Parts: sequence; C-alpha cells; structure tokens
Amino acid sequence: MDCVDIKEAVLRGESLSWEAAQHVAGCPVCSLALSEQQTTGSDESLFTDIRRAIDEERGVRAWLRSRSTNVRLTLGAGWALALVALVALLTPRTHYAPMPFAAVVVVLAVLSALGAVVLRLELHPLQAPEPSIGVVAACFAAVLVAPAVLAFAPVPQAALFDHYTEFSPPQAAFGCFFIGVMTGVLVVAGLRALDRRTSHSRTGVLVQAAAGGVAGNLALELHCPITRPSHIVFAHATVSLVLLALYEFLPRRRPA
Amino acid sequence: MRAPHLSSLDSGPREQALLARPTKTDEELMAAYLAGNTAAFRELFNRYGAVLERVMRHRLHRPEDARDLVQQTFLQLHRSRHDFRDGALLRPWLFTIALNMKREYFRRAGRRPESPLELDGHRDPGVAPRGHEQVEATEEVRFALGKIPEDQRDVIALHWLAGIPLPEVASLVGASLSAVKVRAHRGYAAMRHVLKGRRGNLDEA
Repeated sequence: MDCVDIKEAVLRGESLSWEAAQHVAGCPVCSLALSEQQTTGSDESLFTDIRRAIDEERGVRAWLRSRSTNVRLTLGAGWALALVALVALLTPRTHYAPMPFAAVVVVLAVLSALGAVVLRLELHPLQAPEPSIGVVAACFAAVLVAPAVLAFAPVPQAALFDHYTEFSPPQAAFGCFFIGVMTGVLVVAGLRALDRRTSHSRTGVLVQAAAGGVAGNLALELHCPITRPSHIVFAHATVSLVLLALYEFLPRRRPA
Repeated sequence: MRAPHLSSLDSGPREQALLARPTKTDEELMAAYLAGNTAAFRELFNRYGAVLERVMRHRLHRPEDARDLVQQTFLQLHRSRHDFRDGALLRPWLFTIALNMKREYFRRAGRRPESPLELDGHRDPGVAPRGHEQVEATEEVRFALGKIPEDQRDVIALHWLAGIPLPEVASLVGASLSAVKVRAHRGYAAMRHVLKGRRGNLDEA
C-alpha cells in the first residue's frame, strides 16, 4: 500500500486500514495530506467578482458566445458563406465558361474543407481539450499553401486568363488583395463575436487569421478570373499572412 | 432559455432548502442553474471554488493570478452552460475548462509554468486565516510539488489537491490510466524524497 492507494481509498470514502495507518504515520506526503485539510466553503470576495463578471455578460456579443457550440458553428459558417456569396454577387467572376467545372469544384472543395477544420478549431468548446499549437500551425500553413499549390494545377489553354486589358497586373493584384483582406477581416470580426475565450493566445490568433484567409480565398475564387499562378500566389494566398500581420501591428485590446 | 443573472435573483429559503439536500449532484445543480436557479451556481462555486484555486496556485506565484483564473473558469462555465448535456458529468467538464484556462494563461504570456510558492508570505485575500500548522503544511506541499517533473506534478495536483480519482485524471490530462498511475507513483515517491530531505535540513538547522 502506498500514497496512491491511500488517496484512492480516501476518495472512495473508505476508512483507513491498519496497514494504511502505518504507512501514513511514516510517510511525510500522506501525513501532510491529512493535516492540510481540504479547503472548502465559500470565498465571498471571489464569488462577488464572479457574480459581477457574469452580470456584465449582457448584449449581443454575450448572447452570441453563450449559444451552444453547434449553434455558434452554424452562425460562424453562415456568416462566412454570406460574405463570400456577397462578393460573388457584387463582383462576379468573368471568363467562367472555359474553366473546367471540375477544377473549380476541386478548389472550392479544398478551401471549404480547410474552412470547416479551421472553424471547428476556432469555436471549439473550452470543456474539450485545447488543440495543440502544432495542429493549429499546420492548419495555418495549409491555408497559406493550398491556394498557391492549386494555382499551379494545369488548366486548358482556353481557360487561361492572364490579365485584364483595363488594369495593369499590379492594379489587378491590389484589387484582389483588397477584396480578400476585407472579406477576411469581416469574417474574423464575426468569429471574435462568437469566441468565448477571454484573451487571444498565439493559437487563437493563428486560427482566426487562417479562417479569414480561407474565406478571403473562397471569395476570390468566385470573383477573380486570373489564372496566372504568380497573381494567385501574391494576391490571393497571402491574405491569411496579412491578417496575421494585422494582428501583430494593431493595438491589442483584452476582450471582455 | 433565459440567461440567469446572479444578482437578479435572490436565493430564497425554498431554493436554499432544496440545495441543502446532500444528495443533490453536480449535474442536478447544473440543470437547476440552466433552469434559472442562481443558488445552484453558488453551490457549485462552494464545492469547487477553493479546490480549483488550490490546483491553480500550485503553478502560479501570484495568488491574484490564480484567483483570476478561477474567476475565468466559472465565467466560462456560465458561457458554456448551453453545451452541457444530460448524462454528462460536470466535474471533468469544469476541470477541463480550468486546465485550458491555465494553459492559455501560460501561452498568452509566453511564460513557463512558475515555480510554486517559495514561501512568499502571500496569503489569499478573502480566505479565512488558518492555523499555523496548516499554513506550514500547505507551504510544504507546494514546495515539494515544485521539485517534481511537470507531468507528475499535474497528475498529483489533480489527484491530491483536487481529489479527483485517477481514471478521471487520466481523461483530463489525455493519458492512459496506466501512464497516469505510473506518474502518480513516481511523483509521490519523489515528493516523499523531497520532504524527507527538507525536514532533515530543517532539523539540522
């Protein structure tokens, strides 16, 4: 019989055997465990602080983040898809026709799958184990790399659309970049409203930048007809990086 | 479902009498809180507030940080209340939130877990003063916990300080029961060694 067995017996509410009592008498750990009684009961000032914090949970944001995780996931996904749809409706992609249907579906499917994973990580319930920094970093890297890799997939000659006649390549790149980043920023803002965390750790920032990056790239896929890899690498794939940089440079405010 | 606001409802004698029944489980209390009974939340705090503070404090130097994390844990319990499902157990739920809050605290600050209190003389505000022997015992516990490896320390903090059985500790730290048993055995042995050495030094002094 040792400390573990004795503690387990105490937890089960069993009285100590003679053998256990002998161990306790000679063991500094167990004798301390018995002399340092469990502190229970109320700490009034702490409870008052908790009560104040809970009473301050009012308004739309408090309502949103107190929804169940499934509802928050639905709201988060709905918000991101609504923004992507808005971009597609307001500035629809031209030159769709020569593009193979399968190529578009593959890009949208890959980005949507990444989006689902990232959203799940971002809105994961706090009563579940926290995703590790390695998993989160891998997801961010996937969001960064996936559009660039897909940009190098071969497309038929007829589907190639290299540049607009009315815009120079830098102008076209800036236009896409702006639309992608703005979509990402709005998605991040929505996700932050649904986020229950009380502060933003490195993992939280990475996941949110990845979520904004996925949404920005989905919107650009439905907006931009340019298939030139360099354009996609510099103007589309970098959206998540820019969102991450914005987190670094913008002043941080501790969320309520 | 209406969000219960704690100050908006007084715990009446009927609620208090209901809660006074010793058979009320954590899960029944959580269900009562979801139904708007704020006295149930108070009872959950009475059951777990001090235990959580003990678990937090063994890693943090400043008592106010430990109290802040306990406060955040209960705030998250409130925010997550609609995730609580029939048949779920509250205690692992609450302690997973607490451990996540603690990890987030260290990640956010880019800090390594701090050494436990090196007899810093701080006493938690709001906690009733305890006997000299008990204070010494607490200090010895923290000293010994600080001298053992981190994975063993987490297991022992949950098993000893929080009084959680090993199978539940295993699910909380994400390890198998046998691995957690090994950590506990080694950790307790290491603590015995530390405490014997410390007492020997004190006797010599």
